[in-house]
Amino acid sequence: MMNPTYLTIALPKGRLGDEAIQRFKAIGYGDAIDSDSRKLVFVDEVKKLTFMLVKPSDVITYVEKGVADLGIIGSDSLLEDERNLYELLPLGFGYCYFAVAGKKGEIIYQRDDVLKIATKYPNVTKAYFKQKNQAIEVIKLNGSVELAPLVGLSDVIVDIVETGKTLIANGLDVIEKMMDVSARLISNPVSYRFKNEIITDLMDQLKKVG
Amino acid sequence: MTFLNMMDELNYQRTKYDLNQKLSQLINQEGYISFEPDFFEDYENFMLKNRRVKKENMVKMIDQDGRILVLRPDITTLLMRQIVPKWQQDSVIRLFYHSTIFKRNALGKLDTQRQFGVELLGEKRIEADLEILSIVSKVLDTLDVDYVVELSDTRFLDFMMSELNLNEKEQNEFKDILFRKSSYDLMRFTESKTMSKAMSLLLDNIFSLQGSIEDVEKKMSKLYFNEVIQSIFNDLKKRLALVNRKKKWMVDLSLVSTYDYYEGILFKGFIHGSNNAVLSGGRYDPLTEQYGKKIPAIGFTLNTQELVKEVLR
Repeated sequence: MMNPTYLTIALPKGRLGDEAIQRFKAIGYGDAIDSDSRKLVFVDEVKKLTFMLVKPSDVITYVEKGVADLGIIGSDSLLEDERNLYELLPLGFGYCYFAVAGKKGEIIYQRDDVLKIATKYPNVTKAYFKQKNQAIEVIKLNGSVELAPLVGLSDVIVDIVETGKTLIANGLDVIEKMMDVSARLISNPVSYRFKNEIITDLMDQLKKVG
Repeated sequence: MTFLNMMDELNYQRTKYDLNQKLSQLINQEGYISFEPDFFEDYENFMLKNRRVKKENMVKMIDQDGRILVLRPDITTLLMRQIVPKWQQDSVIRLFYHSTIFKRNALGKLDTQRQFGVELLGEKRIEADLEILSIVSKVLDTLDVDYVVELSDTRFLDFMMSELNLNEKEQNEFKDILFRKSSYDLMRFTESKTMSKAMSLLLDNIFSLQGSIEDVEKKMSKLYFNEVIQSIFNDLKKRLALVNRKKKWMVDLSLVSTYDYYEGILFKGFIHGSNNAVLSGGRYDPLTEQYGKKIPAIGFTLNTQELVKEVLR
């Protein structure tokens, strides 16, 4: 059982989490975390912190349900679903962007027919193209989105792009940049109230290394 | 809440009943009478008055003649429709209700919530504010749970929005950013507007304007000060005078409510263990005006479902 007086932080497994751990170590908050271990929970008795390593897409759930007070995620997942959370701080890493990608020279606006778009982010896609007045059909995929235009499943894709290497390797190109994405510190609203002092302290420290 | 065991279910029902009794008695002693609100509200009418409420979260129904109705998503609006058109000059009325509201959650499923609410209409500003805050304080103290109440005055954000010359769309965007406390989006928003240095400094620090009233006033005095802000602080201090446990009450000037009908004092209460605010309220004179007459009005609602969960623990 977690100690309720401790500040609990949900970290995403993977690259984003590794960068987050580096920042926590840099401000002296991450001593308890042993990245080589396969443990999922690390407790810092001195600083009264608990870190949990969870699947990136589950961070929001842990924080929203109040099991974790704070969490670190990419802003892409905040854009896709509306949640009852505070998006306290941009963290200065995990930079990438949302983009429309397809075969070079593809026309994406004011097409006479409906534009077919494959994506993991249906809500972001719908909101974006609605604003541009383009009729679309969204095809929700869970991965390997780049494949869709190649096999004729869709005309273009909407995805987050970091280096663009995966796109190039599959003969695709960024047609349009949509919006920037970066890592954020999120908080449960009730935790934010009850643990305001420690959370504000932590934020001030993180700002310094951001 | 769902229980597999009969005794747990009965225990839950009893706790719920006891809590209702306790709250009703307390409010009754203060001279408030029970009021049963209507179930339905005209959809168009409701959306017109509550622009920031999400259409997809409403539970809609179609009447015989094709009129769209919503199953009450909020009780205060309904009460106003039932009362304001019949309003008699110089009356003061004190009401409370304990009713269910209906919503669709993010997954599209129907959701109900039990709300206990208190409304005070027709009483002059300061006296009414003091009365309601002292009731809030009494209610929370009798519950025997750990709580925090955050407090603000809508005049602060109204002042900022008028200084920044925001149109209606921008105002909604601005409030939404503050609602999510997103410092990144706020930064982007600030960059996209032209404003004085003092104003941009104030925006940069808006999320730090929270804490005890003394602390917030001190922070504020270093950032921006004028007559409007002075009077906001004076009023907040006056209103906190009758509150029992001062340490549980904090000021958060970036506080935004889901409903746009507040003008003046605004507050939200949290209890330990819940995922969301369990109490919210404030002064809402502008809402009464939309139903025909401007009447001084203040009130609050309490999510009793969440409270029972915490009391049971």
